[in-house]
Amino acid sequence: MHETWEQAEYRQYSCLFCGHIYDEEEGDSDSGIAPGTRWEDISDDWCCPMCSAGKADFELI
Amino acid sequence: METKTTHTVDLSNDDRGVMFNPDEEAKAAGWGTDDPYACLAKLYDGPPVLKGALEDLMGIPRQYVSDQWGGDVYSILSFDAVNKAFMDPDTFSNRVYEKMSVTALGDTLLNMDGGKHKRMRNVSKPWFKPSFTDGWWTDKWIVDAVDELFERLMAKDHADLNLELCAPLPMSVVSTGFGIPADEALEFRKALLFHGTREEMIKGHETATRILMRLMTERRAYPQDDLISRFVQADLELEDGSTRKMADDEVMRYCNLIVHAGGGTTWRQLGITIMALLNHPEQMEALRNDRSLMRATIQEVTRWYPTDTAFLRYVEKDTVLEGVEMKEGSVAMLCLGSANHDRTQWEDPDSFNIHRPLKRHFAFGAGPHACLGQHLSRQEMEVALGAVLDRLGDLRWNPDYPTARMSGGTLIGRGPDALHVRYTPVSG
Repeated sequence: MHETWEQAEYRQYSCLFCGHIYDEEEGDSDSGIAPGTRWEDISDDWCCPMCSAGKADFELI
Repeated sequence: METKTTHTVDLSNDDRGVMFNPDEEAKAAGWGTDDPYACLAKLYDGPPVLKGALEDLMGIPRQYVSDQWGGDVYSILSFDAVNKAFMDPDTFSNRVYEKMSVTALGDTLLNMDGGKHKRMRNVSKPWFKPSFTDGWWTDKWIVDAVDELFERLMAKDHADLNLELCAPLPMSVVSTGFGIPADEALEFRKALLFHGTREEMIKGHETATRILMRLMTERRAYPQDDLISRFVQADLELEDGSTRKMADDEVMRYCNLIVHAGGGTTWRQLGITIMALLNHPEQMEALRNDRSLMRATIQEVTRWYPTDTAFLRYVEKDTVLEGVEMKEGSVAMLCLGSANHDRTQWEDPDSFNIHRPLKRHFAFGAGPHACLGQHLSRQEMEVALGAVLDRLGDLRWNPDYPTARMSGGTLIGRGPDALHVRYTPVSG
């Protein structure tokens, strides 16, 4: 049986420049992103809360 | 008649000295100048964390560690261990720098921690994010400064790029971007020199204060499109969530840090980049023909040879890192040099190779204290390097001068001693 989207494991993305980790389970409270927000649902103009790098500078870990 | 604005500092041989010669700077500070990578090689295959000062493990004279510190010292060597220390500021804090930088720069982001650090950093964070460096910094300051420096280079067929491009570019960009006129930038930068007698440092502090107080007064009355104007109007969030304007001394300390850090490190790192490409002509040619490699080139050169080899942290509480117990009050020496050459992370890590996939490393630190100006630094290097490739045809070492060599302190402030080159100016 396939997992539903909601059941899929949360993923983490790491900033190439400072190592900050965006954890889907935790969200990003500094930017008003709620816990559970999937990477795909984050706006393209969101940036790293630590070093301000762009979303494109994050990689799946 | 329109007066042409000067964007850059024009350095001469007389300016080399302590400020623009890495070995002279190291000598003034009492640092050893051995090449770090020859000394680190014996540690690569050993434990990720070792008790003892990095200098002692490397077999070099003490540079950072002082017996007056008290407490134990640990060397953090592997990629994973350095990453864990950088990303855990509650355990590995920056207050270690209180003893080292406050005398020269005052209470700055460098030695702050926790909420105080975050609130102070938030003031300037928007002005150093990639979109701002790609736009405002590049369009208003970097391109003009590069063009002006290349005007001088185009008038001849040889140069010391270390003194005529790498050193003046970042000093000019951060100074003028801040609001310090180019003709005062050198005086201001000299006033911030770490190494000198107490009297010289007091006099330097007075000079920097005089220049900045004048500029802050002027900008409050007549705001300009520069960072000082932004700083004097900026709100600083306080612990209780209220805000107030930045105080004069807070703006001054910010300026001291940015001009000091932004001028020195990018100078040396750009020099290392040009030196690496001159010593690997096939990679310079690849980059010349495919500028999409530019980003990877900067990422690789900063991995391969960061200008600073180690950063420090204070151990705030008893902890265990990679199986090694550390006591509260110890000092941890995070070795960027060994972490960036970790055999488990990169294939053939001692080689310079711009064709590697992009991957994170620690040249600009990591975690909440990751270099505030790293995106500006990368942008300056990319624009300058692009101009080198476009406008200095047939670029090669100048045989009339000794071969360039890496110089400076073993653990801090490394860069080429000079970059004497010959070239054919390419106009247009």
